[in-house]
Amino acid sequence: MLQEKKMGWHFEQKMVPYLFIAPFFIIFIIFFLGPAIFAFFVSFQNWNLLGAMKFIGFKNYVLLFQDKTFAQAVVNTLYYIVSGIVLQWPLSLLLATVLNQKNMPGKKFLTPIYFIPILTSSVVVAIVFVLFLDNKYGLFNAPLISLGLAPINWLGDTDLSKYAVILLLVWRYTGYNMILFLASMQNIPAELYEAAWVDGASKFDTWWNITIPMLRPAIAYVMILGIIGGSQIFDEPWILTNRGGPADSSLSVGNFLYRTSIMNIRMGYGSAIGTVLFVGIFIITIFQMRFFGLFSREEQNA
Amino acid sequence: MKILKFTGKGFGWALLYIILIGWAAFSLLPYLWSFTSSFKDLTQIFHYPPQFLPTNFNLLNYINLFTKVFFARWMINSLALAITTTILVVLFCSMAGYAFAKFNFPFKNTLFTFMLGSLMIPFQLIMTPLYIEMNQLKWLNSYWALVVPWIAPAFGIFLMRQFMLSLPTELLDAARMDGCSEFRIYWQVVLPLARPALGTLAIYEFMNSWNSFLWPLMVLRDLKLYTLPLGLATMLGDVQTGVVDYGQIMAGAFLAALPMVVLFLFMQRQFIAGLTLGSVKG
Repeated sequence: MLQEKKMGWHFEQKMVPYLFIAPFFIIFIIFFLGPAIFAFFVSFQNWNLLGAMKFIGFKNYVLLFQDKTFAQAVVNTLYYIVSGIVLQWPLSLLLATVLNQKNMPGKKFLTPIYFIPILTSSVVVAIVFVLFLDNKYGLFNAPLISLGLAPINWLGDTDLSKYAVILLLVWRYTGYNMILFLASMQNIPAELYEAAWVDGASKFDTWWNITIPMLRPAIAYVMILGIIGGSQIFDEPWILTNRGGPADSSLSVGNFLYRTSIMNIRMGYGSAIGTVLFVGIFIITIFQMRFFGLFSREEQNA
Repeated sequence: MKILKFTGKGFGWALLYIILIGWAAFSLLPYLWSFTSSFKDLTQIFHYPPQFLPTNFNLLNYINLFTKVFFARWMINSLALAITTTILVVLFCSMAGYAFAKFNFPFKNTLFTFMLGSLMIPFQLIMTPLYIEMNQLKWLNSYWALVVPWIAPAFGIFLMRQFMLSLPTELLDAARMDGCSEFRIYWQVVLPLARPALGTLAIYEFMNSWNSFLWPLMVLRDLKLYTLPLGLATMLGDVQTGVVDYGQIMAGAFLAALPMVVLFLFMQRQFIAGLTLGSVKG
């Protein structure tokens, strides 16, 4: 009896961890790994979901690299990613640095406000921005009109639509990046600053030589988030500029993929786009991790 | 720390304050504008120069929202989906995280690396084939597609594991000695101890689900099954056809944004923890 109970316990002990991790692996294999492998296979086919698949070799890839709309979408998406670095970063670093000062009046009150934009669905915010940026009635154009200047046609001009999307992205993510930087800054040991201060370093010196280097993991994280998130941008151009318009001038790769697979039901072509993006993002991510030394031995020991 | 101490004097500080307050005002502007606009009629919305406060205050936009479109239905759908997904995610992630943190079993490291590697698969790669799969399963236009594939995210498992590593192993062993079954240990010892981490993950998932747009847009066809972001996007399309007007959509936008902001104001610390989850190293 006792022995039986012990053996049962032993068996349970061995099986339990597998039972606990089973849901992940079942879901992952059925809904992620399976489809990922299937995507590679479908990318060599011509298929509209209704008829039979037709093997066409590399034709989808050849077409894709000649596709002007795809090229436009890639350029637009790069604009969105780079704008994150050029506009959001300096601003969020500046805000974080200021909020990190001791004894700042209003700090407790202001910090949560910067966080609010990330809480709201990008669809909801984009809808409000449609009204802000309207050519005739837009709030943002009102000062220009009252000064007798021509309003900026943010949403209707093929040269400006990208910047309308970028404005929305900056509005939504600057505060969030700021919180990430601020959290990281607060973990920098005060002794480092005290030592520098004893040595007579200036504010800017300590910021440049202590704060920024100590922020390296946070900067790497924000950058990886920015590239992965940026490459998947869908909602903002879809809503704000009415499906990436005008004339595809703000179309993101995500929008292009949706249009190809879901609206035009070109499964093979859509899968080829997905595969190319996967390879692209994979290479960039690996390169970045190398660059920032993440997951390296040195970092783990630190 | 005496350097970088706030002095409150000089031009530099004034400028910094202007930037700080300016950005805070810009962050809040869409909320304030959609709130005040939701009480305006169409002539005032398109009035030049723009007026911040409604002149003839009325609730017509809100009444229309609940009578002319399925707004209440969309809100309930979003809420039900977010709650269901969150509960399942927290359950499955904590189970797997616990197993990876506190058990030793053959192939553990291989399986763990495999799981982390899955984070490298971007949504675009599986978007097309997953849609095909949903079509084959007859899950298009159903909530199965919105919930089932997303209930065990690797990211959540990783975070749970990081937290569970710190749970005292002796306590679990003591419970085992007392003849507690493994599932009971998980349910009655591990879960209560992990409550802060569970809360953080729950907030993260709830928000993800509440705000998600692309996947529901791909899957759902029936207006009555729509979630809030989908419904609002449709309303914006209806603006062009004249079915809906801007006042109504501002009311909708404000109501859609409100629950998260209110929750945030009450649970700031948990929200910030939840949304900065990834930057573990800090």
